[in-house]
Amino acid sequence: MSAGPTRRGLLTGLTAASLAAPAMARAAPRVVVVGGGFGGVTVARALVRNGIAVTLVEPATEYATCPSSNAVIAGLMPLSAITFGYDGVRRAGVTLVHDSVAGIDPVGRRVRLAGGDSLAYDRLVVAAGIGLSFDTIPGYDAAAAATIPHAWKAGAQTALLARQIEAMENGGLVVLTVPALPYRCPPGPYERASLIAHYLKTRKPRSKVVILDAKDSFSKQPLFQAAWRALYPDHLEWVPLGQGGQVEAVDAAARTVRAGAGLFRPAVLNVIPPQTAPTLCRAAGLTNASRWCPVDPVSFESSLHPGIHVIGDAAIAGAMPKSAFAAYSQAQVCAGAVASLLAGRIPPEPKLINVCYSLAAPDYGFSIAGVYGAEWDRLVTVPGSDGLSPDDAPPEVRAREAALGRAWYDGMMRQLFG
Amino acid sequence: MCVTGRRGFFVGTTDPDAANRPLRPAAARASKLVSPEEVRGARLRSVIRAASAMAAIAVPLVPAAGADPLAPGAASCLACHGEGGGLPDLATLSPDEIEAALAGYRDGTRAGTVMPRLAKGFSAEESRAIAESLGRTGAAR
Repeated sequence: MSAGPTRRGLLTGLTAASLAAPAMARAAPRVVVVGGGFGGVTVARALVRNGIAVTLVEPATEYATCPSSNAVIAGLMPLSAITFGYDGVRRAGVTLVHDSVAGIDPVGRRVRLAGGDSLAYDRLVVAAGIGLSFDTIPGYDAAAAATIPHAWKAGAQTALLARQIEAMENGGLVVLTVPALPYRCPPGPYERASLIAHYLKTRKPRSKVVILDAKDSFSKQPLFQAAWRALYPDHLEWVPLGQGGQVEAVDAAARTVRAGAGLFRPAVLNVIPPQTAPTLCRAAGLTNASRWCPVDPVSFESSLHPGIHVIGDAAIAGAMPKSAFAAYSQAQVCAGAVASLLAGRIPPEPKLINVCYSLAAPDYGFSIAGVYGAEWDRLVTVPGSDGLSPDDAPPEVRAREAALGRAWYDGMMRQLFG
Repeated sequence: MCVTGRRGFFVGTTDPDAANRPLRPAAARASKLVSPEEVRGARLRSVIRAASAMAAIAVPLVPAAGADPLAPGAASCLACHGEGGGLPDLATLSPDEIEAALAGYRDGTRAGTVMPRLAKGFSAEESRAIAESLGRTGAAR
């Protein structure tokens, strides 16, 4: 290309080339995105808006969001309210391929699909979420999850846990186990326990939820604990690591869970297992010893394989948590970086935002927020920008934050799937 | 050779394969020549990144005309403040109005929930750039 082309001039006319053309003989860049969640859909739509042709690979034809899935578990809304199809993504100009990734060839720059096809790419964006470590809790494997849900990927698992809680008798015990960090959505287990407690208090008041935690502290802890004292003194108990909260084994057939604190025989058992980057990331050599994917903080390009970007939960994003909002922010930055790199430009220094709302009850919300920037090879929090909702906020502020969380969710769904 | 400013810095290249190479290999930035402890502040870091990129490309650098990405951080704002998001649509506000709101959140004279925290993550100059990106006449339009 000649020096100093305009972006418009560069991108116009580049999208018509066929996917079958050999990589170096063609002018139009081919971008493949793996994963149709918050990160994948956002980066695909943002690239298409930049005039870049994108193929999105996602096995499922519907996506159920983890945000708001705790409300489904607590009977506050149906699963259908958080489930979306990909018609809007298609209408936006993204080419959808509903298939699983069988492998990634970082050198040949190809994604092999389970159906037998393969897709060549100039740049690949992997937004594949998490893998569940079924090997880490004795007795809790993929088969056990059919009766003892994790519900940490939304959809059928969410519905299963909701049904079990609804079917439970008044007086039944619910046990929820929480892993050590890092995992998807750090405050998510505590929101889940809160909303389950809300359900029990209003519908099955002789019941209780116990959290067995592999940690001694957790995200938004003072806010959650103040809410629990006020709302659920008889319906929720937190057992931290120091009091035997670490899960030692699960017996799926007997529906029991053993921890330092004792042997529990709950009516409903929800095991949130430890997590890693998904198998496809590990198979492609995108993970380091931590089993997550190291990336450049400016472009989200893999530190291990050039040409492949990793965003969202699978990436090591420094101070940024594994959240849907973070995946959205990273996707926007990554899309800009990919467009820059394809045009032969250096991506600009980014700034990213994370905001995460949690509900302690349907009208009792609070948030954590932060701004992040690249510091050398990692993302760090901009000093002063991070923090929680105030401890002493009046009920109307809690209600306002609950409404803001719903507004964020509704707007995000319109952007992603509308 | 290289422009800096609110639009970031851009590199044009005559190398047709440049897009297929990592521009800033992590190894270059992790070089022993400059340790992280010696490098604090975005400006110096940017210079080093640019230098790494130049070394990787080894072709003349020119500003890319016509490119106008959103200001750093602006895209994240759209998670809540995009069209139809239920929160104030920033496209309906002038850059001056957005800038004034961010300044108020930052100095504590304007009340809010998450915005008083987030506004402290951006300097006055960065806030102005975001306001220009997202306001009525900005690049996001």
